[in-house]
Amino acid sequence: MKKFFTFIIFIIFSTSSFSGSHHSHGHKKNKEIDHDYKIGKIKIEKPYTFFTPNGAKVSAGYMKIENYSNKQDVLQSVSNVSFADRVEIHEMTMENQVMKMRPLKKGVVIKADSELYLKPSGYHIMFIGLKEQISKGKEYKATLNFKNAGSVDIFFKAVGRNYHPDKNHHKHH
Amino acid sequence: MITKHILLKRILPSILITTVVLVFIGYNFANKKPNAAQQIQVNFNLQDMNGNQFNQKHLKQKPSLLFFGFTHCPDVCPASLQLLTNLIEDLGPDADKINYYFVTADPERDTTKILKQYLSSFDQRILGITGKQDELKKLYNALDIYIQKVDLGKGNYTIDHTASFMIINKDTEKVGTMMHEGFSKFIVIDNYGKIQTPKDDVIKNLKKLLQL
Ligand SMILES: [Cu+2]
Repeated sequence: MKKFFTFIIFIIFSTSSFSGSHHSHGHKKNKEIDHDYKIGKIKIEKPYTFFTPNGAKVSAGYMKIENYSNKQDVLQSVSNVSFADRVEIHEMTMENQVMKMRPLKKGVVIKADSELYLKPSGYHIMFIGLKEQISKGKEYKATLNFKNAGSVDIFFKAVGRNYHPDKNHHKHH
Repeated sequence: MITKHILLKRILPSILITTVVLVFIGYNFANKKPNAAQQIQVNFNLQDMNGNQFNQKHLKQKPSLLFFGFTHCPDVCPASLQLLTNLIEDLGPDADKINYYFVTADPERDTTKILKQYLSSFDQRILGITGKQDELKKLYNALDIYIQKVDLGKGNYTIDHTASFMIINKDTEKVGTMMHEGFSKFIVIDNYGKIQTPKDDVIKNLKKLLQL
């Protein structure tokens, strides 16, 4: 039993120091870790987008953004999307059972030492004028432009509607 | 004698006023049942996605679940349609006792053809409805559906809309709404705004409200 606990403590320490190394020094190169990405003090976890219904003209992309900096950063824009005419940063709200969606022209703030979820019924990357259907097994490239950390290329993985990132992955937390 | 007189003079008016107010409140309570089931009184002339006419008579055939949305909606509409597809499957043989409608909030872009194509990704029993703006408005208003077109510039727009399902019984009375919770499951809410229990037993609650 004691050995088991020592093992657990060892795992906790080794993984925490491992993840610590990711954000202690800003890597010059954008490094893809599993399905995660890093730029400066910003880490992007598991970007995903849903398969679209037939003929859909819009879609939304989601992810978790972690800011390891002691300064806030701003996801100002998303660019370099070849599968849609336009791409915007949106916020969705629900009030009295009414859904509202608005573009965030100044982007979205990620506070210092915080994490921000882009997820259904909240913030999302909106793909407008889809040139192709989002389909199973494919990945969709985009560039995220942060005010401080700079730009990073990421891939959105296409998933089914029953996908919940927190339920499907436990690797990092 | 004097004190009694003063007492009457001072207290009697306030007693009278209080009585009048209470009677007034009571009268309003008895006559207005703000949340009780009300029969939908409306005539409208719309089209289903197969090109057939769709009007108030169709709502009398079976109980109905109606959702108002648009195909240019990125998450709440496809998520709701997917949850509805799952629900229809879970209803089993009872599923055919209900009609399912996806009524567009965006007739400018959602033609019968586009609706048919879009809905082919979901349960085949979900019928897409579109038509003229004025005719659609009659149905929105009858069911208290909020629909507001919002200009986003550069020829783009979005639509703010009620994102819950309307539950209509076979007497065309609105008996409640169905709302998704965290995009993962539905909850059923009656006309008094009360979430039906057990909260996770949507099928049981739906059958109870629709007397299936
Ligand atoms: Cu959006």
